[in-house]
Amino acid sequence: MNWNTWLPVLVVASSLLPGLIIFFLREGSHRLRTVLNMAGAVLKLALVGQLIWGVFHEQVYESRWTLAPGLDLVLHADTLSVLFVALSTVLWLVTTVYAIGYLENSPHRSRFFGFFSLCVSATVGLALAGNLFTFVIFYELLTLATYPLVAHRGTPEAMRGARIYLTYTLGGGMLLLIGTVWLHVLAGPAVFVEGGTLHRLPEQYHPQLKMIFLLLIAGLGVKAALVPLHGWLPQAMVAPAPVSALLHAVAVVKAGAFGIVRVVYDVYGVNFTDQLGLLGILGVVAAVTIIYGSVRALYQDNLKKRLAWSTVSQVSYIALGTAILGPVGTVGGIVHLVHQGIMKITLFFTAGNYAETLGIHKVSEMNGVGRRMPATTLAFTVAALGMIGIPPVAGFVSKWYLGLGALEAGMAAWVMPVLLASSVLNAAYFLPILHRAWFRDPAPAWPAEHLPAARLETHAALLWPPVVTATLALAAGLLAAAPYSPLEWASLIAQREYGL
Amino acid sequence: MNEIALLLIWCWPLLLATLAGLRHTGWMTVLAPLPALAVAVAMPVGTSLSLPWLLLGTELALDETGRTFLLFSSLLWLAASLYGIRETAAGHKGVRYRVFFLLAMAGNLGLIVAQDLLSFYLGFTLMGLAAYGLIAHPATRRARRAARRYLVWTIAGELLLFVAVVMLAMQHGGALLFSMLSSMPPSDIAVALLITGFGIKLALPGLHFWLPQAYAVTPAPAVAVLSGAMIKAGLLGWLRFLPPGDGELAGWGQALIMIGLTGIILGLILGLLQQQPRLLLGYSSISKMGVLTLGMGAILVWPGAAPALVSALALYAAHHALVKGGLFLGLGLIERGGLRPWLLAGLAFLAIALAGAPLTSGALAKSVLTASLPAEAGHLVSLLALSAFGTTLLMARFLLLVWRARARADASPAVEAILAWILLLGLIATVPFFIAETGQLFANLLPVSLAVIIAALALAAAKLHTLPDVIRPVRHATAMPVIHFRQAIRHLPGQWQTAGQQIQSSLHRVYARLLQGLPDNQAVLRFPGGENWRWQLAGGFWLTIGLSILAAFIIAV
Repeated sequence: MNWNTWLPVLVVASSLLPGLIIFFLREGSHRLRTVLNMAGAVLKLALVGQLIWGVFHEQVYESRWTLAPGLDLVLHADTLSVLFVALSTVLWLVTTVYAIGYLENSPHRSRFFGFFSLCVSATVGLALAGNLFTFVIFYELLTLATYPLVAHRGTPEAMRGARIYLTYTLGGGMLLLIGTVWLHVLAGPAVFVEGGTLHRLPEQYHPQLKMIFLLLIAGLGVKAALVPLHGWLPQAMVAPAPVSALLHAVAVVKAGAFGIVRVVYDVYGVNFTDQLGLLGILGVVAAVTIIYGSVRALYQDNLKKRLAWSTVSQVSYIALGTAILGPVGTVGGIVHLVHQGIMKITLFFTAGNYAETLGIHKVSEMNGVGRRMPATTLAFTVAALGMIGIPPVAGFVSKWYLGLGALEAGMAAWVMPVLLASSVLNAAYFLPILHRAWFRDPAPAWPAEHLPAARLETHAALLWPPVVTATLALAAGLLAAAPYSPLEWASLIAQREYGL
Repeated sequence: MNEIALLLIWCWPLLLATLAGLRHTGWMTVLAPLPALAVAVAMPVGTSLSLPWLLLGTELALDETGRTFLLFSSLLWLAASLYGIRETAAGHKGVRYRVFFLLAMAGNLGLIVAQDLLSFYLGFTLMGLAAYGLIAHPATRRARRAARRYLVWTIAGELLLFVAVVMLAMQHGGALLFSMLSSMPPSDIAVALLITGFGIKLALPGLHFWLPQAYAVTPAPAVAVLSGAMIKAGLLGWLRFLPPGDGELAGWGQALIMIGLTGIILGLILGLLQQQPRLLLGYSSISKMGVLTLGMGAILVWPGAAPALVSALALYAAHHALVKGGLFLGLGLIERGGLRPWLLAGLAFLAIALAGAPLTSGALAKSVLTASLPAEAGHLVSLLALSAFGTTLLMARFLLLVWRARARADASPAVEAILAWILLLGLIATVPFFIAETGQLFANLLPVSLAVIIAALALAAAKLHTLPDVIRPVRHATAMPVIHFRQAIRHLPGQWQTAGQQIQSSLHRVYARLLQGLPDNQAVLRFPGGENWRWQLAGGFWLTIGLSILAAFIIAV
């Protein structure tokens, strides 16, 4: 039992243990809770740093428990898992700070932070999963850990939203499980190996492999909000802002997208998937989702609903990148996993700020908010411009690689119009918000000014997270070619996937 | 000079933008263009800075064309900054204005020294989007509408350019430098996208609909840089992205010559019909951009003449930028403080400079341009003379409009605004004498003097109330087709008559839009039944435009 075996376990445990302890804390012991949360987050960050360094230098980190012959629970760190783990960890740290500020004086904080930590543990666990079986286990744990977060407020709408969420995600989990079991019966444990293992199976299995693929993608597609499995996402907006931020940037939606990337690259192998004709199907579904999500977003006045539909659209960029054959398209899809996470979490943080400070829930109430809350609105502006794909914010880099990849794969005829239409639609529903915020005069009174203007425009714990993530979004684009950028890491993943 | 200055051109205005919120910092915008000016004046051509970690690998350098562009752009931005120190200073809206001003400056000046596709695209996008903030600054409904229209066109242009840039990158295996573009001609789709994308910025005919209203509402210093410096970025884009090569793009060059010609004529005719000086200057810009388009077309058709043509176009762009900027700044002084004799004199000088009268920068620019055209392009030279004639008429009308609008205001413009304008004027007046060779300042004598005579006659006739008698036959002649159309509709059976009337009313709407700035647009729309002479005029001039374009095709082809 050496360090290399323990590290993946410790990464998961660093949020699991504090989470379990927090459940048993009294409601009033908020200092201890804060210490546990922050300590867990910082420790996880340190461990992940070590993990990144190690994986870059091709060290092997693997923990394995044999539950039954042929059924292993494996935590394994490769380049793709490290990408997602790093994203989750950094954003969890920021979200924890935000949640502490957001839920100040709210009831049931111990319960919240307990499940919050469980949720992150499940995310990190599925990121580090070394085979499909382990992935499915953590995937289900994620569903169970996030349900109480969606239902946190306990109001009838919250319970309804949570119930819809549970129905969808349990259904998806079922499909995923069926697919996994079938695959296990057919081909043994589906271990994640760069380049996939299933191309070695004889030709008579191909029809079954196609069915399995569809089942797996359907199961993963529920969480990844692919059309027509996306229905839970706008309903889950009843959750408090930190939950929406975490769900939509890090945990649930990304887990689905991450799973799709894993299945295509590390179970089937991208060339084999193309051979089976499945990449085209994935591409079409992704394209439809991108357009449909953005069109629905245009008609929403509720800010969080608009952002939810925007998430439906943007996460499918990752699926689209996966559907584009070739390293450049792969880089585009994978780097968007990081970029979209950072930009979306900024948007949700700022939406939460508006709601908490001024009682703003609708776009039509946002007139003149740029003057009252300039730093928040500046963060919103940077993230929104990134969503539209305007340089130098990170979203442009993803769009560039997707476009370039599509051209190199000869798929530009339909991918380019999708990208352009998506940019236009994003501009159509983000730019009016920016115009209202910066160029209109505010109404005589804000809907419900909870936090009057003081030295800082809002609570410090609410202000710093979006500013930090907006800066990260700008840096990820501006310094995309610098060493240690998300783009460099995504290029590394693509290199190892295609064996370059 | 250290090549870091190239990066400073981008970063210094951005840094000042972050400080814009501090109190009493309005004067700091004047400092912003200084690194660019220093680079244009003092940095040796060929200095480059390579930043592989920025964006996807950035390359900045100063070349000859870049130096000219940087020089006139930074001078104009400097003048506009000085002019606008107190123009828009009030409170948080002033901060917002300054931030957008500085962002647009960073993008505009930065793209000039960009040597790779992506940093050029970044500067272009930054400049285009930041200009929205300048156009939308006055909080009126008209400004908001003009700004939204501008934004829609700009974003459309940027998306088209994005596709073009990605296609170019793929064609060259992911490499992103301008220097590698000459190794292979771009594909037809890429060229079409580049022409359209940059053409939106240059307000090519058909892509120009955002321009007149945008120029009408923007505050004076902002519209000066918008019309002077920012619009030229489109030309620089063409120069960078479309290498003349060995004449593979000659077909596109012919198309550009055609489009340029249409622009020249459209701008002149629509400009002559305007009632507001700002709109007139807007259409004049469209006309001058037509000249630049024509020049760009010539570069593609005759690549042998490319080096001379490129520097001639850069000089023409410099002349137009400074003079147009001066015209808008002068107009701003009038809007602020009423017409004064010295203002009128200065504007008159700028007006004839734009028209290209002898001994002005316009004459110099035109001489250099005609000299750089190859011998086969003789017909283009005569078209340029025609353009000079038309522009003189246009400028005469401009001065008339300014004179008419001479209500004396109580306020007086800020002293730094007057200073900025006078310095700009001095620059425009004196520099040609330093850089011109003998004989170059005497071009355009015939067309300009002819136009001046005609304008004087028209004015005299109007004063003596003899004009209606002179133009009545013209009015009848041009209105005839329109009158025939109306009469013909009345003879048609039921549905056809309705259809005809619908066509008629749609045409009304189109004309009203095109002739925006004419008062009584509502009167034009109220047409059915009435003998509204402006309607006849509108119908008439469309026929004129159509016929002149046809004639142009026949001449040029």
